[in-house]
Amino acid sequence: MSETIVMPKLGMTMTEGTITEWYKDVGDAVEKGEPVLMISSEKLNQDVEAPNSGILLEKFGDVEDELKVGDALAVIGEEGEKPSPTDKKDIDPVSVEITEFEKPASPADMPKQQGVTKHQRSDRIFITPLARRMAANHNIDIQSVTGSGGKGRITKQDIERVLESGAEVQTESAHELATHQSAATVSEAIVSIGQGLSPMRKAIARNMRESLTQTAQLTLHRKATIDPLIDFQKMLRNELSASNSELKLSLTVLLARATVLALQEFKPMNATYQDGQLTESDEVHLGIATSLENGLLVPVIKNAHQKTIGTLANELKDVTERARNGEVDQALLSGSTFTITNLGASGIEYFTPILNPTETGILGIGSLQEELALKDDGTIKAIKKIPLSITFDHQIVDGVAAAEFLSILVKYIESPYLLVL
Amino acid sequence: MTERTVTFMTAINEAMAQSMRKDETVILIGTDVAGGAEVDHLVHEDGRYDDAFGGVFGLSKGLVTEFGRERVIDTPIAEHGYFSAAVGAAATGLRPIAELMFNDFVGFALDPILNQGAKMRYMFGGKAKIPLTVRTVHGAGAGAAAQHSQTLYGLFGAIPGVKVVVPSNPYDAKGLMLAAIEDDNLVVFSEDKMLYGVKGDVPEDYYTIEIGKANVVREGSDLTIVAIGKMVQVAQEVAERLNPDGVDVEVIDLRTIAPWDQETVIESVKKTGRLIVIDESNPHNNTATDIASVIADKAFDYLDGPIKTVCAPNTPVPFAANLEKAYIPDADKVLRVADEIIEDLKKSHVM
Amino acid sequence: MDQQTALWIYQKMNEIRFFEEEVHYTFGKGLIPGFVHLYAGEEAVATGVMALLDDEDYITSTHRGHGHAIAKGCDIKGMMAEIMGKKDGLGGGKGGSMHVADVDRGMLGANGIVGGGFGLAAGAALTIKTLGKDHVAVCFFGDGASNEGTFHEGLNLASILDLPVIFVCENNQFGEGTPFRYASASETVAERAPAYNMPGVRVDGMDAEAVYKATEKAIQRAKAGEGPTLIECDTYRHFGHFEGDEQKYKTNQDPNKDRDPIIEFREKATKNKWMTAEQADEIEANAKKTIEDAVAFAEASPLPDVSTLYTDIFA
Repeated sequence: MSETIVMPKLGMTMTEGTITEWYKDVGDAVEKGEPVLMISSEKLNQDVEAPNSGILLEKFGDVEDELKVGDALAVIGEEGEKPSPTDKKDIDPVSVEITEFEKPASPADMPKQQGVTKHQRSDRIFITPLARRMAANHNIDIQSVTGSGGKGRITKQDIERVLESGAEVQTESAHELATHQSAATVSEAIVSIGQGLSPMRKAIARNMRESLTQTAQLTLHRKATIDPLIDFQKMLRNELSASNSELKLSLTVLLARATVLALQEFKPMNATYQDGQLTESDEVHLGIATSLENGLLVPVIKNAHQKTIGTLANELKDVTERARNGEVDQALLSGSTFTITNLGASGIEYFTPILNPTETGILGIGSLQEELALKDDGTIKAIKKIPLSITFDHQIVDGVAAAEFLSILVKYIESPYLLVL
Repeated sequence: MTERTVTFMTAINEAMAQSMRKDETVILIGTDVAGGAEVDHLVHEDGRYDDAFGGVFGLSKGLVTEFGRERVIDTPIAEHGYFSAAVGAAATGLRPIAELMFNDFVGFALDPILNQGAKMRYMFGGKAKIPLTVRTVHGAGAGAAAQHSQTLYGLFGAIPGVKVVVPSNPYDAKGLMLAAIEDDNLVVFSEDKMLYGVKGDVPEDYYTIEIGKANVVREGSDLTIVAIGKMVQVAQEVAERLNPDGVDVEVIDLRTIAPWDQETVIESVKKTGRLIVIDESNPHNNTATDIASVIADKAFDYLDGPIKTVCAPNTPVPFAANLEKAYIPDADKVLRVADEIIEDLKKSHVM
Repeated sequence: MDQQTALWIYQKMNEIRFFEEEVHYTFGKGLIPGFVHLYAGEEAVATGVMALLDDEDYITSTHRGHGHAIAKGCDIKGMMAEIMGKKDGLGGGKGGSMHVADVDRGMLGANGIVGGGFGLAAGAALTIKTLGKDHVAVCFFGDGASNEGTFHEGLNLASILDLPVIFVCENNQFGEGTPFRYASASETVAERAPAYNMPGVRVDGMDAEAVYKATEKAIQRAKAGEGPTLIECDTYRHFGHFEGDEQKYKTNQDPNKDRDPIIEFREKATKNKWMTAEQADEIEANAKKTIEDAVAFAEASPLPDVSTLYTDIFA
């Protein structure tokens, strides 16, 4: 009995995937669990494994072909077996293995509708004009929505359920903020944006475009005197080397720690806003913008507020390395409540970072600046300053408030002993 | 204002009487609007008249006694003739109320409305006005069969230059009748005979209700039902019956079917996303289909389901009691038709 | 008048009278939907005319049409069932009192539209003329309808085409609640006929023989291709315009008020030896029985199937 492999759904909003590489050819023997091909979806690459042992009977698509989630990729069966003509069509998308974040868009207690209106590429989707408009506004992929209206139509109710199910995830397990709200997940529904680009660039394109269309962004700049923090860093390093620790304590880690404390003190900046719902978070999940050779990823340090400077340093190193090595999964890329981006190494002073969608703030760090300062006694001395740029969503936060956040951050940078209290 | 409870018929009678007291150019003309003309024993010693009919339903009873036969004019059974006369009189300074006993008789009265009254002002470059109120009677339910039970207000409503008012209750009937008489245009005032006995609070004072404005009689967020005349009761019943399911129905009494209040209906549909129109007319080329067409166009992006029109079937009005009952739209029929667009609303509240 | 004709007329007069009295009674009990317009008092007109017609002749009737239908030979049981809105009615219960019809009997229907029959009858006559048949069409209408524009249009058209049609006006003095003397500028309907170049005769509509004789002449003229005739029958309705009418417009001075065409015909027929008293008694008893049977039949008949709501809209 042959079995069909379908384009898996990685995360809640994935609607299509690209075939990146075929490991097997038609006629090749495959073992159950053996990778058959690699697919990519935006930032993620994933191997698709054989569901059973047998011969690869048929492949549907070549490298770089884009297929919808649930579309057939390949058929595996016994030697000499002819793939039945129904193999390609009779796929139950519900059986597709889904990630831990996947929540069915439709309520489970609607057995009548289960599986009825998940759509194949060729299916006409019956959806009311209102629901279609709402789905477009919220970047919901209607292919993944089950219609509960008359004749299986997708109605406003169904779209609201999708939106609510996202909100429920957030309340139930706040440590796993709904993937679709996270910056790392993009809205595939803005289909035309990023066309012709690589999956990663496409994702970045959509993400940035979405950010600029959905928010009212404004950036404030301010410098903080960083000499005390540098002194503090030196002191800690001395302590660490004295205790033979291999921990490398970068200024970035200390700035991250300062940011976490500032966010806890000033929660409006540690918030997400999506689908009309503003969520201020007690927990800080810190996104770290990490540049790659041909793009950008934002791995997330979960529960950064619970980490000491030491663990923070380890985790920072860990997540950025994993991002650079491509060892990422949805969990690593999702759930951030605030993001830090550092262009200090590039010699940039101030800039205007673009918000990581659904977050209300992003901190840009520039390169250290040497300045002359007038001391109390009238003499002049050289000091170092660090330029800080805070971009915030003016829909949620006003300028004075954002300035207040910066002040708090500056307080922690200039009084570094607070970082360990 | 003092409030009393009077019938639909009395409310209309009172409106006519008040306007006739206020404006001596208002006349009532029609077959047997008084009845008993030139019957000696119906004449009082002081010269006042009693009526024999006061309209075939007795609606205009008493008017001839107060206003005399010069202003409450019985005509031969000659609809074309007296409707032409009413248009001619309206064009030249009177403000007639002309009664068409049953709207089914419009066949004999149509030309004066269709080709004369509705078009004169336009054709004459705005140099005429036709302040004519056409009172007529529509609706099935009385066992009056195929030629006395039709619902034809939509036919009038299709004519440019004609306004059509369909009241659903005694309060509206009086206010709309006074507004119709005040209006300087040809207004058809179509009364459902099944509402004649319905009682309601009606102030004694003179008041008007704006023509062209619908009335939101029940606010709701899930489903809009637009209903006309007698069908407003049906809409209310549907709303009550859906209430336990948590379906929150908005009921709009259209009041005027030409020109109908697009703004109110569109705003409601923008809120609810779902629309049912109940109209006792036959199902094609009627007010309901017109509303459906306009909403499908102007509120397309707000629709969360197909627009449903609930009308009489595409048949003449049958005579037999059970057939006639099956003919008239009722709450069961609305719920049957509406099920497709509200089943998901019901589910959502069960969960 | 021969004996057979007289017996037939007396039988039909009695059937009509008992039928209408029964409907009056049944309506009062609430067993009949809508409203009914009763023919009692005008029996001499329908029977006097119809005694000369057969199934191939056509008639158009009015909202007060029960008498025409019975005299034209419509099935009385089917009529009663129709008036009660039952399955076995002539129209399957879909037409009711105002739309009783039986085309097979040449009865083109009672009519809810006052003045609706003038053109229809002219059209039936046009068929007869065009197909070369030796028959006539009769248009019954009331004095009220004589003031509709269709009266004038129908008469003029029938006259210029020399159609074999007879316009029979049942002038019962009132158009609904309005006296004819008020509603008509002319003193009689008959006097309008010469304007349309046809004979206009006025007869005693309470006298079946007078109606019969006038009709006989009109039929001869029609069949000879000489065109239409207008016969105005002066009559009176015993009941109101419709059941429930207070009849405040009636006065004791109304002509024909105290006359009964059935009693008058019995006297005349027995006097002229067209009919014996025993025959008359027997006819009366039989007619009563016929109507009782019709009521029993109609009451036993079921309501029509709801599916018939949708049938017979198109051929």
